[in-house]
Amino acid sequence: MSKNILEIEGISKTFLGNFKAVQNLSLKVEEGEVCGFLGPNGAGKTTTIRMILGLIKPDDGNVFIDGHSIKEDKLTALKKVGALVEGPAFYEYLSGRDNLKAFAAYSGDIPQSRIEDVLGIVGLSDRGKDKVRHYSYGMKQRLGIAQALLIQPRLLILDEPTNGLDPHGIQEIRLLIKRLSKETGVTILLSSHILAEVEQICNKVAIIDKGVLKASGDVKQLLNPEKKIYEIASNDYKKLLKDLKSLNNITILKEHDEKTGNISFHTGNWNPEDVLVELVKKGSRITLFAPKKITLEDFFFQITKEEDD
Amino acid sequence: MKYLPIEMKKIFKSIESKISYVFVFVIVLSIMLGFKFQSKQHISSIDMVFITLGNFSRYIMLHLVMILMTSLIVAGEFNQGTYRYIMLRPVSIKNLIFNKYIALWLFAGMILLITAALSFFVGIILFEHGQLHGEGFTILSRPIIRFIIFYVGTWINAVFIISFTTFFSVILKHNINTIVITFSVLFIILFFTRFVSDEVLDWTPINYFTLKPYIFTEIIKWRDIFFGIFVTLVYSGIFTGLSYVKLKMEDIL
Ligand SMILES: Nc1ncnc2c1ncn2[C@@H]1O[C@H](COP(=O)(O)OP(=O)(O)OP(=O)(O)O)[C@@H](O)[C@H]1O
Ligand SMILES: [Mg+2]
Repeated sequence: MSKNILEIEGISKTFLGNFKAVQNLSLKVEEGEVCGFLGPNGAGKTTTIRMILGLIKPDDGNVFIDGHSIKEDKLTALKKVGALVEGPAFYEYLSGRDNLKAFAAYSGDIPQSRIEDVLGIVGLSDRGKDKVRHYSYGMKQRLGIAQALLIQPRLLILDEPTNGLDPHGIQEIRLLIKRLSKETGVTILLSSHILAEVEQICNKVAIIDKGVLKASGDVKQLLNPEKKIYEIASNDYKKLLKDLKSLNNITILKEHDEKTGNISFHTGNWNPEDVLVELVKKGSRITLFAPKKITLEDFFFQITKEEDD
Repeated sequence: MKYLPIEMKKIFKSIESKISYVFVFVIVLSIMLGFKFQSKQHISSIDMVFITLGNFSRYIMLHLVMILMTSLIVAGEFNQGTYRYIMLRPVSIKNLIFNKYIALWLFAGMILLITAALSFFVGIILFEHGQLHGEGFTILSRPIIRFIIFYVGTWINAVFIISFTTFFSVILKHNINTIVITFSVLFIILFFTRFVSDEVLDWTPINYFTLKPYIFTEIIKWRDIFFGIFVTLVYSGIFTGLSYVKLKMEDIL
């Protein structure tokens, strides 16, 4: 059995005005895993990450990083973790390299060679002497990751590292994360509100909504939503909808998609093929029948649906 | 003192430090030219060092420079967001504050030294060589000791300005707001100290007004000077303690 690098034990945080941002959240991440921390805006991802890093104190519960409690043994625990929280932040008037030197000084004994190494890893070696003020947002994000790698962490925590980037920048960061995991074996916790991102990068996933952990496990098992939500279309839309509604246990998610005009539905306990056969029997002429590329909202619907079942 | 080099680098590479040098240069030259062309009395080049240093702190120019620098080095960490990146490293708040104070204090010492040296050397050109004069144009002995007291006293006053600005930095968490508010509050306090008696003044942080009567008399009043230093350090301790407790208690966002 491999070792748990991150162990979260029932942490909660209530903000002023009795707002429960995170409620009794527990999670384990094993060595070498890339764990996606998935949830919509305001779900409590950043709040959880802040508690993991000891930036805010949980009202309840504890967090262990490589076996060290962030409550009782904070300074040792922090020596094991590198992080990017709510976007990168730098001394804009200093160069990228000087910024890394500053954070290296705060980290303890980090050799100069390590600074050059991490600049190389994120592909900023030849821009290291430029002031951060002149960096693009994508470069700042990469420098942020370099900063997190300074101490050669056992655990790397990245809070929405692709937020605010263009498609090219997003792809660059995703590849970088994959490469880091493969080459260094570092354990990664990656928060995101993009389903496809987690599918692409992670092997584990934890799903959070309104401060509550909804599900966690293997990406392949949990995020295989395509087998359950389908899109369907016909020239006789009204008949199709009527026929579909007549089948038991089928849940219509969208009667009429704004863009495509397709119907999307949850297959419930049906085999998708059987649904198709039934509809054809009833005389519907189907022009499209395919698993839907689902959004996070569809996915949350599915999770809550499974909980009800 | 592990972080001292990096705090110094933040100070010296900032635009604020460059503004400070230019500011000092302009202010010192203005004061000296003003005295050269306006004063009827005979002023020696040694007098001039005391006059510029005195006016520099009297018209809260040192305060302005140090508020600018402290806001950058302390409040700036919050509005840049770098504070959370420092705090997720094995750094204690105590150590961080201490290193920032030392760096800022050294900067204050350097600014005062530049002020003194500049006024001395320009003074040699503009004014005649001569002795140090006290109130009523008496000649004062031991000018070097008196200079050291004045210099060190003003330098220790900088500790108070640093801790005072740190306090507002920790509350406001934004460097521009901190500059404006701290300067305004200090200005109001100093304005009201004009109306209080000398006994009350002895209980304010050591500065130009509290040092002046003790330095420009024939006998140097050591006891009063040391009391002034003590009072300054007590105030600084209080403001630092308050800043520390606030940082220690609150969530880091
Ligand atoms: N310091 C705070 N005081 C009060 N409420 C807060 C504070 N920090 C966060 N919240 C609230 O807690 C909830 C969760 O916020 P959090 O930043 O953790 O969400 P998130 O999952 O990171 O969202 P996003 O995807 O937008 O970054 C939000 O509703 C937010 O308004
Ligand atoms: Mg967030």
